[in-house]
Amino acid sequence: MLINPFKIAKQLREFGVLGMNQRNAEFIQMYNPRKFYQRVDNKLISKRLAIAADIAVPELYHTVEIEHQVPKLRKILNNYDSFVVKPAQGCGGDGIIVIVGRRGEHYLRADGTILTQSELNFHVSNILSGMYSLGGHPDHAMFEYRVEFDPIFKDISYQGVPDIRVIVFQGYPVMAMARLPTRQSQGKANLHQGAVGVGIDLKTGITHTGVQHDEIVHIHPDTANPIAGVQIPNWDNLLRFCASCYDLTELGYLGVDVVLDEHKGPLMLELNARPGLAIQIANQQGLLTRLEKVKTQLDSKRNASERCAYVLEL
Amino acid sequence: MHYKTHLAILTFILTGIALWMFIYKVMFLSLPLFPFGSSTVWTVEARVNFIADGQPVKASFSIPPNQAGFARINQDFVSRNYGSSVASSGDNRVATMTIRRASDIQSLYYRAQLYVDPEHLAPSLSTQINTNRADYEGAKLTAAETLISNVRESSADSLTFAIEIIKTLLDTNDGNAAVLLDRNYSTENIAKTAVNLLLGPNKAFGPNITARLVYGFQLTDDVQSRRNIPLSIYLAIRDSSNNTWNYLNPETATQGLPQDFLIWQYGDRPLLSVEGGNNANITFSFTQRLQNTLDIAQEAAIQKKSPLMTYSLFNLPLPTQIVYQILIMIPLGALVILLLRSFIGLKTFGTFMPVLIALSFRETNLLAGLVMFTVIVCLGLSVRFYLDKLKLLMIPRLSAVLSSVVVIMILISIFSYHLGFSHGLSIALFPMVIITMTIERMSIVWEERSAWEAIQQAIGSMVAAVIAYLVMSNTYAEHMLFVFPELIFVLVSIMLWLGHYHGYRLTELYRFKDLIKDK
Repeated sequence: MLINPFKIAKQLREFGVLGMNQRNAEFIQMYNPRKFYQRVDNKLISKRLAIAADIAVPELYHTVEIEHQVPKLRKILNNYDSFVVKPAQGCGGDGIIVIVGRRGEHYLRADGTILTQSELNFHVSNILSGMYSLGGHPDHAMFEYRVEFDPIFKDISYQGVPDIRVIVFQGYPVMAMARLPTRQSQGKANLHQGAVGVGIDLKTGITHTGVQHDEIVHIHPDTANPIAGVQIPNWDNLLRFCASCYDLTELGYLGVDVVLDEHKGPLMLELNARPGLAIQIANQQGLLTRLEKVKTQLDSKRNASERCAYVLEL
Repeated sequence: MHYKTHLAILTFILTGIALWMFIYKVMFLSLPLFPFGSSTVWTVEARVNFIADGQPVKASFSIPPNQAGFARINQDFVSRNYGSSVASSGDNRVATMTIRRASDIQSLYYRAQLYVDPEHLAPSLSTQINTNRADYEGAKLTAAETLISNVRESSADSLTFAIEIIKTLLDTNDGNAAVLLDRNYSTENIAKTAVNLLLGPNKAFGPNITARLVYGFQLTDDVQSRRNIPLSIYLAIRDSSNNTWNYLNPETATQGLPQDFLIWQYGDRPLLSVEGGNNANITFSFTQRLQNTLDIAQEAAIQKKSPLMTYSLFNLPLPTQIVYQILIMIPLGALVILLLRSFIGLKTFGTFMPVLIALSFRETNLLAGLVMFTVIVCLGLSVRFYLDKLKLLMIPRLSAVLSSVVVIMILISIFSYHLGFSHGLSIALFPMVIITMTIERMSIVWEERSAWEAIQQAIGSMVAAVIAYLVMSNTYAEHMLFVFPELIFVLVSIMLWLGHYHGYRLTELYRFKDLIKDK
């Protein structure tokens, strides 16, 4: 089959598919002022802003800022049975370790492996030296509440924490997907690493098709359960929750990652100033059409609920 | 101002400046557009020999004047302790070499490097020339009058008149000619007599045609060099109607100078005069060699004293020039990466790492470079994975990996040299810091994402480096950017415009293919 790239490009354009170049130039550069990047790139800052704005986040247990604090970790962590270690400025989920319990002196990781105290200390030291941060800048390590995720995704995820990614443009939620960890993604909800992205109908909050490595899938590769038809509880509430994240960051083109905790409901896990494009494949829909509609509403001064209402009526 | 207008004006100015400089260099400084080709450079030499009297010496001799068809690259004098100066004398140039005291046999040399340039124009020759005319008396006067009136009847203008005069003088049966020449039919005598007749002897009669002798020799392609070249004599006849000079061969009465004829002197002034010496003679020789057109053009352009050449790369010391010859290709490499990333969507480690790798490929050649790069990265990665077990902090680990990279490079050089591969030596030019960072980044991707992802990005980087190398080592591109560095502004303009490409990347067409399949 002879492929005409211009013809494909034209079809994609008609379908409203947003490309990387256009996303960078017309959305990220135009609507995300550099000076606000710290608000999302540094998870400690995002957390602080979220708490100030009454947006629920996983509780922060402890932060390590300098090497000197590392030896004291054992004592501090004794208070917590399970927790998550993260680099404050990490990207793409790199450098995150999930501890679900103890095995004697040692820690038990989510994937069932054992982590010794010295291994954990070494990992924290690596985080501090900037191994996982953008550009290798020195970083802080944060210890926070391990989410006990809502069982709705139990049958269609493999270990790890499934989360929900919502693209919020100027405060209007425009597209959503659930990200389900797989064996391949080593329990991480990161599409680059092989997690499955499942499109969510913006109006109903019901999942439909999924995508893994840019290929459409209908069942979870590890559990073999169908991924479509899952109703996210309290969907309207969750959309409003995401929409209000715009107000605290002032970033026009934002990816909001939310986890559903069994006890605490939706928690804002992190924010992303450069959300990926695979969400379009998961939803079988181009982003541009919706983004263009929102562009016509930029002058209206609506609050988060009103913005969600506008989106739901589209 | 809308940013697109701004961009348009900026790129218009940049491109305008670049193209103006480019055209100026091509049109007025004659810098070549192609790196290939060479032309013949002639080294002509005059050697003056004499025996000095042990007193102050002053030797004056003619050197080739500026003339149409020949461009001079440079000239120099070779002599022991002589002072030298060059002065114009009418249309001629005269070199004067002096010394306070000299004895014994003296040899002075004048050397000039010339090349044939049909577009090289000479300064216009003077219209008033002083030529000594000899007055005739008695039989010679009568013979001259008769000869001139005979010739006048069979000629139409000054040129045919001159041709007829020479023909008559060459005719050994002509009595008048025999008298005028004293039966000396040497070319020099014929030429001098012809000039005298053309000027009009005795002022009282005659055609009053401006004429003079021309001395020189032909530069011939068929021999590599020629020594002791005899000077040829030609007649130069001025056509006052259009102020041009016509040349006549006194041996054949034919018109025109031979091809590549180098005029050494106009008029019959002495070629050489030596004060304070005797037995003086001057001999001429030439050698020819092929030289790169760029070198010739470059030297010739520098002679033109254009500020564009004075402040150009050509005037830097040679080692610096060589460095810039390489560095100047970086913008082109950057453009290639820009195309590969923004239009194709290739994933690489570090934005411009492939450009630096491509630069080092220039020194190692492609295949050897690829092999060595792969070896270094693989060994470096194993070191990195081993160091991981030691639980080091990042900076010490990076330092250790960097040092290992240097050691690996040294070992490769030593082993490949002993095995007889000289390519291994140029490995030293690999950007080791960049390689170290690549190794670090690759191992993180390896651990955090997957080995496949890391290898994929590594292959992407190699592909980008190879493509950048192929573009950057293109001889034509190298020539254009080095001779016309202002073209970088054009590249920058292109980059600025490409910065406004918001369309899909080629890989995205594949990535999003499922979205249009159903429709």
